[in-house]
Amino acid sequence: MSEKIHILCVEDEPDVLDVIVRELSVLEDVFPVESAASSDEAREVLADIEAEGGSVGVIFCDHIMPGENGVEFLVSLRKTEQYRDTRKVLLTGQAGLDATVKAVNEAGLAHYIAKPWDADELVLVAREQLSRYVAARKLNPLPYLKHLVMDLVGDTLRDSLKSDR
Amino acid sequence: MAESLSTLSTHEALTRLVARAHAMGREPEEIPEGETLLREGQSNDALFILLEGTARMVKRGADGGLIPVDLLGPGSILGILSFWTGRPTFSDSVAVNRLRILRLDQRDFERGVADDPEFARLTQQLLVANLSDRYRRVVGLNLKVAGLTRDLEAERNALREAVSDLKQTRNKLVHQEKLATMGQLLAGIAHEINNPSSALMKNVEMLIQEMPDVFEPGSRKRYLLEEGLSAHYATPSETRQRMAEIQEKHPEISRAQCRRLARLPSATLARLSQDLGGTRAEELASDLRVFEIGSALHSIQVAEERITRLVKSLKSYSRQDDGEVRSVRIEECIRDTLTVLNHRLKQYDLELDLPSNLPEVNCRPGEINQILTNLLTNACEATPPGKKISISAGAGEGMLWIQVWDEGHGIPEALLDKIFEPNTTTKSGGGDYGLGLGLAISRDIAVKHQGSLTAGNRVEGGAWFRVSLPLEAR
Repeated sequence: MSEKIHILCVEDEPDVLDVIVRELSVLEDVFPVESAASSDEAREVLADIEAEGGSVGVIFCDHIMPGENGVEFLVSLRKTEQYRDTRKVLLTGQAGLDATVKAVNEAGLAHYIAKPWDADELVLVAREQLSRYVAARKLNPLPYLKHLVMDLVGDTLRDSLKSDR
Repeated sequence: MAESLSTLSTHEALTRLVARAHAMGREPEEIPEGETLLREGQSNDALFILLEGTARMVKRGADGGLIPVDLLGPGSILGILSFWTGRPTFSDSVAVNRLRILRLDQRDFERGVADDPEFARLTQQLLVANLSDRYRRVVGLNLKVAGLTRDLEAERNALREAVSDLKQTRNKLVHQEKLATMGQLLAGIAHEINNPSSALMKNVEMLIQEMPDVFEPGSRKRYLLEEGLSAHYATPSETRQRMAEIQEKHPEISRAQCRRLARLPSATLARLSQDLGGTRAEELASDLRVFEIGSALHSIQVAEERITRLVKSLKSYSRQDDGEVRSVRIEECIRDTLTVLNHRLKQYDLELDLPSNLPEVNCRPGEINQILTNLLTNACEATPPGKKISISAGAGEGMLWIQVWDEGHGIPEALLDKIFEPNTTTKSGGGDYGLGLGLAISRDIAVKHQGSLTAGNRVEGGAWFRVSLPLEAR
């Protein structure tokens, strides 16, 4: 069975989190969506996913949250071996330039979404980032193909088809 | 001649010299008022011994203007330097009034000194007197110059201070003006948001009231709508747990569907349990949408209530102070400021300790908000996220106090004494608030209210600031 690749959403405002999860749930038949209200809870969820043998393909993280903020959380993830390839997306309503620069430089930020966002854009960003994740991990894209962006996984797909032959 | 020449009075010496000159065939001359005896820069081959009247020495300045250098009276000798050195005359000599002088040229002088011992002694006495007189005046002038320099230095320092005071005052004014503009902007935005927000609220209220009647009383759709309207958010961990439970019982249900079901309150879920799987599942999926509509309406209402509270806080926070002192509940000022700064404060462990029985205080609330904003933004700047920031208030001895403390880096020892002086800052970045005026202005405001603003470091680490306001402000 192929590896379960999760989408993780971290946001402290329950109604906002609810909307993000709802909009991303169109991908859920392939990529299970998980949610957390803080970076601490997110770490618990990550541990659960790891325990089940799954991985996290993309994290959507709010910037300003009680406790550790989103950028710090993403920076700490980047320093952890198994989440290096995980695509990191910052969702923010107000980040100043400093926070953005830090996120890009230190957290290896893949994308930056300003609130309020567009649902289609959110889903597209998720699909693109998941495609890049699959490509970076050199996973067989076939089980996930339904929601991947072909241009981004074309090479990986060719390689995996070749090796199947 | 037994008497010493040096004891002769100037007058006596001049009288005798005129007599000796007369013997040599030299007579005193009259010089009319205003005439120039010697001209600066020209050569001169005579000594002019002033017998009566006053002459002024005048030098030409670099800009061509005339600078009076000295006033000379009887007994003075003009042209000493140019006579002896052969250099051009040092300055103009002009007759202030009618003069009587004795002019001695090179030949007269040499002959007199050689042939007439008394002439020699008399001219010697006059020359020595002239030179020592000039020397004394130079010393006097130097002393005067030193005094003037001291005065000038003091004046320059005073001016420098005045200029720096003015600069600070101007900076404060600019800062205040900025804040006032920001206040107007905030008030404007609050007002603009208020109208659509009210419309939104009224319409959501209408929808919440009317929607259930769209469905048959007692129908499942109506039941689900009403459940949705009163549903609360489950935390992510609750959601996960419920999803796991549903999936365990019904592995055939898709994950997305599980998530929708997990949002239902457990009593509702239990009531629907027989329809979860099998043929009725599709019909249930469609009915679930009604629950979701209900919960979306509820969510809009909750969000709208937040907007309304925010707008209210913005309005009272930015209330333009017309300089009127009002009786104010300080908790409201504190809560308004907390609302406005929520985006920064939510990263901290905020502790709020406000007794419910605080007396009202007479103050200009907008200005108090400004102090609170300064203290709280400073606390945020100094404190790492996750640490504690505390706000407390109390009353006693005719004063009401508000205290803000934090678990940040504290006030550097060297700055403790001048933390309220303008242009003092511990912030390295050049943010919007980096002028170092916040605390200076805050103290000005407190003092204007006949109160005080004090600060210090806590033993446990971090800084504290305390505003005190008199309960009976004049």
